[in-house]
Amino acid sequence: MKTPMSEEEHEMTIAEAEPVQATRPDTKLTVTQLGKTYVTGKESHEIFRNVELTVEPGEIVSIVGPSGVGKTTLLRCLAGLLEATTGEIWIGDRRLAGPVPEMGLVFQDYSRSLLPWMRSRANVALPLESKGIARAERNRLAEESLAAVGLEGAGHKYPWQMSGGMQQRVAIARAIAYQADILLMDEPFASVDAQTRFDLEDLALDVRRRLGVSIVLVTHDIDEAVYLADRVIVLSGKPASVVDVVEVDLGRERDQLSTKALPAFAEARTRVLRQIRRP
Amino acid sequence: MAILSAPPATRAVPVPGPDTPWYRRRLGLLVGRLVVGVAIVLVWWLAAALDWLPDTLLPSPLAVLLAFVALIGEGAFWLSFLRTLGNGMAALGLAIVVGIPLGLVLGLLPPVERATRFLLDLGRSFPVIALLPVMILLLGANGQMEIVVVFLGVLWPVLLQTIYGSRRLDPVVRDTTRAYRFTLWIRFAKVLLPAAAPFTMTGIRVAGSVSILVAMAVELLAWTPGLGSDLGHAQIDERPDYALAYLFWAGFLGIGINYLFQFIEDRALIWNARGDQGGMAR
Amino acid sequence: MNGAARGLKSLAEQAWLPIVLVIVWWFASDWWWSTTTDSKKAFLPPLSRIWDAFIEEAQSGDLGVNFVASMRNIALGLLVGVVVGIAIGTVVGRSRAARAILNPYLQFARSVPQVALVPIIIGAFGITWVPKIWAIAIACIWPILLNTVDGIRAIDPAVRDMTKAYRLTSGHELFRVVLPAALPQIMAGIRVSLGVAVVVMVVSEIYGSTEGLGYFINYEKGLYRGPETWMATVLVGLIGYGLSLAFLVVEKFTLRWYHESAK
Repeated sequence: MKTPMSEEEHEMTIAEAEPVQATRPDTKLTVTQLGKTYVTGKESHEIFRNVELTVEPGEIVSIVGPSGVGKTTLLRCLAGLLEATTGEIWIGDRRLAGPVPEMGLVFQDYSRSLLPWMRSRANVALPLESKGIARAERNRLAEESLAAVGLEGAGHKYPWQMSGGMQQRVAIARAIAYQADILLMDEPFASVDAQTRFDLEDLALDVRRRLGVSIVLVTHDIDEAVYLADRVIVLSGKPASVVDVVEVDLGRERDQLSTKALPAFAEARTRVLRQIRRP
Repeated sequence: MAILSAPPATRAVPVPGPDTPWYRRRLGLLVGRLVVGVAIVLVWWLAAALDWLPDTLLPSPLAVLLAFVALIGEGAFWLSFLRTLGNGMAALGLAIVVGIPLGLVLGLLPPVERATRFLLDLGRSFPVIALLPVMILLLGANGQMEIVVVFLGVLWPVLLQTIYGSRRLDPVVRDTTRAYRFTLWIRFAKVLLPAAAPFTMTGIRVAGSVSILVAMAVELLAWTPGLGSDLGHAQIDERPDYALAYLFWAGFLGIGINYLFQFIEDRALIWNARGDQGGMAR
Repeated sequence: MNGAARGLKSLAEQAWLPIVLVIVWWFASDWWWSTTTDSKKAFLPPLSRIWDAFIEEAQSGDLGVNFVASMRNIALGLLVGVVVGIAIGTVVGRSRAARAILNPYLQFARSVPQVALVPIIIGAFGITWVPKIWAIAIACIWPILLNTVDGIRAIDPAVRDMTKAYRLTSGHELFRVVLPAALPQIMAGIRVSLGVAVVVMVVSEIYGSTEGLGYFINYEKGLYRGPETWMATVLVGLIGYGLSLAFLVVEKFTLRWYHESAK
């Protein structure tokens, strides 16, 4: 059972870990003393405080916690959609002040963020238009990203012609085509059925393996959090704060059957659960 | 599917809470609106003073205000006002009496509804004011003719909305009433009418606004007594200040009618929800 | 029954009554006209005479000239109304402050009977065709403007999040995301303004004009020519119907994604 490590110990462990296929330098996400307080009139609600986390290039970090604790708020701060009250967010050596090209967001409700008047390929290519990329290149990137998520040849379909799982793949493809180095996912697999969820979880691992992106995943599903992550951040309390950081020592190669049977899986899972349910 | 896009119910501003930004809190809203109002009047005054638009189109705001207020004291104005309102409401009453039963029946019998669909679409999209010349030929230029024309114009919202409402009667409910052998009257009054009532009320509200529009148009073109002909007279007599004053009065009449019918619609639905007889007022 | 057959059946179900009515009208009106002694019969001409008047006026070219004039007026008036209505509606719709503050003014403007503007505008600018376009345009703006505002306000916050997160440029966001998202509401507004436009067109042409179908109807009425007056009235009615039908087709086509995705 590992205890939360200090920064230096953490640095050493990364050096000893298996090398990732493709690493993107300067995309380490560093969060220091992050806090968010909503001020409405005379009242103020502190959502979370003193959140510290780091995500190395190519890492997957899960954020779990009870419902309503503020996980989504935290993610929105990370994405630059919401301004944090205290603390700083750094990508590499640049400070975050709003949405950046290095981060791609995958929302929970995919159907509401995919545009129904555009085919899926156009949906994937849309952010690239704003980046000023030429059409031929855009389409190529879109097609590649769709292929990377297993939707090769489905680019001509409209989102409403696709199942929930496929739509979520399109949303992931959009984040990939955007050339994001860091994927932020807000309960991305919550709205699909269990079988599709397993497929999508494996897809996330696959994407990380092939493209070397880092992923920050917010989820309420503890199994999912442990299965995917290199590290699980447990958020709890009111106001919320990081109550535990659980290192997940299951190796980089994982699959739904064997990994979940490992004792290390159960241990990590139990520990996380205990932290969440602690009153 | 909306039959007619009704003038949306003008609802009160949402009650502000601690969360609300400055332009939603009661005072902030008032100030904002006042500022806009003052700005509009200033631009208007400037335009009139500097003659950006011909005087006959845009007299000074002060002149219009004076005319607007002056009308309040004129008995002739109120007579016209009541004439227009009266004609509109009379025609609306006729439309309700004809439109609701007809709508319920048509809604109940799908083959009939399909057969009449073309006619209904045609009637709905027919600009009733185009009928004015033939109506004048047939009935002369008087108040009765005006009521007939307005009736022809406001029948459609009431009729179509009632059809729509009665078509939406849950087939399960309909089968149940048939299975339990409810008498036709009870089915009509206690089942069909309440089901169609909300839609009918919307249709009546729309018809209310349309009735004033058509009434004024008839008065304007046929010179039957009312606000419309007063406006036309003011314009011919080269009193644009009065013409615009009439315009504003007509606008307030329109808003007033809309509020009134929205109020009635809300009340009627409350009674309906309480299960009173067929949504009809006691 | 396959699709085509079902379509034909539906068409037959809707067409039989109008066709029967027209036939009945033709013969019944002819019979009534030849037997009645009603003094008003000159103003209730039989369908056959109305038809004859149509052929005659169409061939002489009179009808054509006025028809084209009316179509021009309504087309231009609608165009201006749509463009300006969407433009202003977009600006107001994007700003929550503007929406809240301007609401009462917008509601008042739309409550004014738009036909009342006709004498004022024509009185000031004359009976040529350009003032009519302004009158039609001003009348059309309100439903479109208000619906555009509503449509933009109703855009899903998830969509906004997405455009922010992916850093879409403003122009991009406007034309590729915001306007298409609001399009269903905007089309509903245009549908309403279509009806308003036809009414204002007719009123403006009856009130003060030297051309147009409204003028034609009034002119014939002035000559007490029943068949011609009726003919032009029916024609205007059919035009109103035709325009709304045409719009329905356009709407179905442009909003295909909306209807399909709602299923």
